[in-house]
Amino acid sequence: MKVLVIDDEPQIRRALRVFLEHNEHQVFLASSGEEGLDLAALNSPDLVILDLAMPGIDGYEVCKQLRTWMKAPIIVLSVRDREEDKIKALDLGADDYLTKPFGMGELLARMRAVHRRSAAEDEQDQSDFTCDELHIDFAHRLVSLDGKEVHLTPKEYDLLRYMSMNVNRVLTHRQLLSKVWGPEYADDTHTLRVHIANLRNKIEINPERPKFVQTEPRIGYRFKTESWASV
Amino acid sequence: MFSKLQANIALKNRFIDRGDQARRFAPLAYILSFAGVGAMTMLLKSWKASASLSNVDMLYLLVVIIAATQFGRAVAIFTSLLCVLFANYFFVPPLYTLTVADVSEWVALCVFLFVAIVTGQLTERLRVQAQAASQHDREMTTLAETSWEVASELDSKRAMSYILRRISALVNVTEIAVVVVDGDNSLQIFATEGLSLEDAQSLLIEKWRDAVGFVLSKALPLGSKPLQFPNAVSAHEAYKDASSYENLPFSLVPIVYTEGNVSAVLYLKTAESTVVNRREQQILTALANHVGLLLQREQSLRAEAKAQAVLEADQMKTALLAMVSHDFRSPLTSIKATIQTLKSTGEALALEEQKSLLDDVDLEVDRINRMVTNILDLSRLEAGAWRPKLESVPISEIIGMTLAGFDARANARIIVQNDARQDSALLDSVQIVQVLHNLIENALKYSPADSDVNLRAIETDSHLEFVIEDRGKGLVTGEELQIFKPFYRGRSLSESNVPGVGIGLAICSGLVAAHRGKIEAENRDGGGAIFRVTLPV
Repeated sequence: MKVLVIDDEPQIRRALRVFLEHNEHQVFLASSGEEGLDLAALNSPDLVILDLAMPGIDGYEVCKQLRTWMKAPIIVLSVRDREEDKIKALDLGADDYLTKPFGMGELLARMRAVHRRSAAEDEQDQSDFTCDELHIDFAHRLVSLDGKEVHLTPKEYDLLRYMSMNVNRVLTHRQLLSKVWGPEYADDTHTLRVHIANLRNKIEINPERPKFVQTEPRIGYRFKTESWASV
Repeated sequence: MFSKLQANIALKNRFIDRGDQARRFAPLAYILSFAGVGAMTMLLKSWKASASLSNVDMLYLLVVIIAATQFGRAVAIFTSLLCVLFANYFFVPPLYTLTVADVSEWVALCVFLFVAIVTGQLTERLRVQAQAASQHDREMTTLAETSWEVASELDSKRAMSYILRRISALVNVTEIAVVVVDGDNSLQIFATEGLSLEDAQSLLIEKWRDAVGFVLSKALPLGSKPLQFPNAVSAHEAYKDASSYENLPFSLVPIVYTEGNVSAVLYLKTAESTVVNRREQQILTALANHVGLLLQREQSLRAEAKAQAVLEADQMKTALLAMVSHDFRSPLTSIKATIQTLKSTGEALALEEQKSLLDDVDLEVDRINRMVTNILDLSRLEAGAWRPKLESVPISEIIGMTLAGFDARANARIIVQNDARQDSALLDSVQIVQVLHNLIENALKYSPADSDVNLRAIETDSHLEFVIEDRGKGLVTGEELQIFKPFYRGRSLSESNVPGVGIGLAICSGLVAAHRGKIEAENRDGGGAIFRVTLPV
């Protein structure tokens, strides 16, 4: 796919270009927000990798502007302990984030995840979902583990369905609450947590060590179907 | 507090000698001594030994002495005269007349009179001296006890209150207060006895602020009529137009405690018609100086604490710099060495070898990243910036997040027992997860690779407890508290080479403290250590 990398650090740009081209992607590089916006308009990338902490026009602004016309997924790069930044970016339209320093395997996995989603958006009618022992039959609202049916409450099911349609992508508390409960519940994090805990108890082999439903601390959750190993 | 003052005053009054009391009832004294002499006469008359005049004189002398000790000088003289008359009348021939036949008898009578009078005077003086001595003794005891109290009592407020009570006992004072000048030159009431802080505040800091200011600036006392101090300045001399300072209803005594500067004022209000004699003024001054000493000590302690804090911060900075310099150099060195190796011999090396060298670099980079994280955490810890973002989080989620921070191999060694399965707790999930992560990481690192680490969550009515147990070497006895201090490295040499060991537990301790919880460590039966994190919920 066509990937646009917007980062002010030359070493990162270089490393990403080499890596992504090696993985058969076409790479465009921008060293600033302005340049990034121009290149995006010019080349219509399939995915944008955007550093949040840039001098000049900052990452949030770029994100906001891109979202006015661009549908392609955006992955933001941020540093540790700046969860507020990540949430802000995700709320502004970014699709996922990576914490610096990040591993390349992780980058690839997230790229795949967000790209898959945007591709799948065109085909709304996915009839079912399977990953290892978990199987969801959307048509009949049936969930089973290793063939054995699991009983979920309506909200638990909605939660699982939403997450399974966005595998490997981070979903903020706000997004989950708005989608499953409604926008007026967007701040009721506690309810979400309790439901997640119950869901884990039902669909995870080991709820204490969840395989599917991963917590993204302070940000939200991620339904994981692959583990990113080191390159 | 007031009753204590009154008790003290009552005590003092009991020391007023009975002589003074009797003096008030003077006629009674005379009547009594007359009766005494009479009684003695009758006794002597009935007793045949009275034939000898010297016996008679001795026994009459006894009466004089008793009269002197009981009723004082004047009555003693009266008694002496009475004894002579009675002796003359009843025992000197011719009996029952006041005439004396023999000249030698006259002489004897005169000598007797002289002796009686002198004895009386001496007795009286002795009594006065004894009284003075006992008063002196009391004062010395007061001073001694006060000194001891000031020296031994670390709580300045308590020691101050003790001194003030002593002063009030000594000088019949109803109200005392100490006004000090604060660091920013504002007046503050330090202690009071006999009146409330608010009253003292409104009286001295609001109403009579100028008077206090005067005493502070001139180092001279302002005295009210009952309590006149030496060098007390009357309003006229000090203030040209300060008629408001005349008839001051109380006294203000300067307390000098910093190189001749007056930085505090003692306020005294005496009971009506109290007169303070010179000796009492001296004692008062001595006690006021004790007050000064106390205030000075208080100041020193505060300065010392501040200096200590600065010192500790400085030490922290030094340790941090040393750690950064030491712990970063090793991985940087190995990274540099590896990269240089690859650059110079890269193509000649087998692909496998190149890859493994690069894996090394990758690991070292991770290591540096962890150290940067730790240092950031520690500096935030020191800056007190750990304000927990409290949220209601299911405990199972906390445990899940903790476990997610370990790879599969480590996870295989962690055994979880969640006894608080269904419940949520109000805490900062990221911070608590970090605490648990650090503790488990240590446990894994310092215990044999085939041993397990237990993680338990227990909930009681008031607390949430996390317990981490390992089968490592355990703790050095006596260091259970030390290990939580920053940069503490274990005694065993192998630990001091592991980077970041000195910080992990300090960070745990800081985060737990920010949650108002506590963290403890102890040795485990059968070997190993137990770490307990208790959080209020």
